Amino acid sequence: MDLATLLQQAQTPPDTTDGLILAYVVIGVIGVAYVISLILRANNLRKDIRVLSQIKGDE
Amino acid sequence: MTDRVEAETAQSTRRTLKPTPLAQATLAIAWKDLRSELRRRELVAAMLVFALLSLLIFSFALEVDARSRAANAAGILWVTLVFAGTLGLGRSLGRERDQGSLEGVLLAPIDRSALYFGKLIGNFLFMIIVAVIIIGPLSVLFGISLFTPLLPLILLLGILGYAGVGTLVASLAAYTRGREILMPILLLPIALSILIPAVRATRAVLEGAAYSDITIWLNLLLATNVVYIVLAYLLFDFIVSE
Amino acid sequence: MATQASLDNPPQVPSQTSSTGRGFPTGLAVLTGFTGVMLLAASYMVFVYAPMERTLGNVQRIFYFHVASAWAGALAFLVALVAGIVFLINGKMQWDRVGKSSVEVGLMLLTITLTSGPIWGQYAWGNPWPAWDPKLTSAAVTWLSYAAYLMLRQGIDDPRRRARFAAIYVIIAFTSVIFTYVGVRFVEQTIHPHVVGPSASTGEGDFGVSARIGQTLGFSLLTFTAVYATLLAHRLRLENLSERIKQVKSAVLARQG
Repeated sequence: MDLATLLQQAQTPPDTTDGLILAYVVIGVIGVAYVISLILRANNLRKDIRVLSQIKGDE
Repeated sequence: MTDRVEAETAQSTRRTLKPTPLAQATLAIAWKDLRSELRRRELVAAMLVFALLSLLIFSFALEVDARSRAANAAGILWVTLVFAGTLGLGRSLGRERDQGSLEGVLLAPIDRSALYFGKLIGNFLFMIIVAVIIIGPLSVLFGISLFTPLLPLILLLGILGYAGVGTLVASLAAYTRGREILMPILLLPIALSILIPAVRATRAVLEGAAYSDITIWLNLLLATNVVYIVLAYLLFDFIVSE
Repeated sequence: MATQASLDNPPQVPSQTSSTGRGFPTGLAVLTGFTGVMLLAASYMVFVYAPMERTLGNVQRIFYFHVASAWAGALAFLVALVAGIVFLINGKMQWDRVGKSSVEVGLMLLTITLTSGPIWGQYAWGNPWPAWDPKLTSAAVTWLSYAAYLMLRQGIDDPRRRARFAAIYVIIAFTSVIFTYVGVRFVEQTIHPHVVGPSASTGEGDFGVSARIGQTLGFSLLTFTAVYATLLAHRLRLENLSERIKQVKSAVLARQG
């Protein structure tokens, strides 16, 4: 191990928390957006079912 | 009663109509495409003009310095070929679909894969013609000689692989809505797997790299060729069967 | 033809409680809850339990979910490949729905990989997307291939042809992704660290894997596998439901028209 590496390791780590937060916000937004899209699609289907069972009831 | 007679007739016709051997049927289909192209000369002409145009545009858009000449020329050669190739591939099965002659071909007593291999030969030859013609202008425009002994082999393998997978994907696209738009979107991500070894092999040859540096890419190119063509042979039946 | 079949045997309108939204089947509800708990635990491990990396600081913690989402995405595409092959063999539409659902979830997971990576790269390499890095290129091409898969599906109306073509395309796409990846992995120099297999790079991106780092990564991989399984189950359920509704609709229309 050379001197430069030793010096670097002795240093305190740089503060890169903002990058971490940004990344996890992005990950969260993508995941939540997908789950919301699933919920919306499920709701649309439920609406369809309601209409269909009404039609069936009318017959 | 009549049904039975009809069925028997159909059966006997089928018995008398021996399926044409695969090679013969393949060549017949390829020859049909080539002849119609010879008569009209619209497709290869369009591919060629497009290729030359894109070479010119590249030469204006890129400031090619002496050091990166080989790398750039290799990339430009293949990008031009691939884009010109999409023009030809887009027409390959599309023409039959448009004119309604595909059903006729499918009803003929031939192995379905004859259609694939026939189309493959046509697309391959069209692209080879374009490649042979643009090598000269490319050498002049970018000031690097492309006339090296290994380049024909790389061109052959690269174009065969691209036409091989391209014919299959173009056949998929031929049945879709808006196939002109969809075809390149479907084909280009797949084409990259051939483009990478082809570009790298070409670049290594142009840079005069060691033989082992070239063969590693050639082997990869060969492997993609074999796998794609075998896959296409296996899968093509599923495209045209109803 | 489909209407004819459904007239003979009129399909039932799916009932509100058992097969839609509010009341999940017990198995799926348990799986969903379990995955939620795992996500919380994995987040705890990533943010608190795992040690801070010395040269990069906190931003290195992106690595855990980045790698895990890439793994789950690859798994999703593998499942889609298998579903495609099985469909071509036995022709059951259920497998087409599995393939479609898996690709969709896989694309979402790969999107996570592709967006979290450049943020890490900005700190590790000083560049979010080093041009022509093979690993980045092959990941991006994978994304485009499967996006093309979904576009191909939209371009075909006949369901059986759509299923057949999608299965063919998914086989070609998977093969090409493997070729692209293998080609660049074995021959090309990449600055991207390898998590799986021998690492050729000793550059800035290299991690000395301590026990806690390994545990956190391992648990993240498990968590994202569970996330994938859960989302696939929900997506598939939705797809099955919409298929049944389509059948009922055509039956109702046939009876009225």
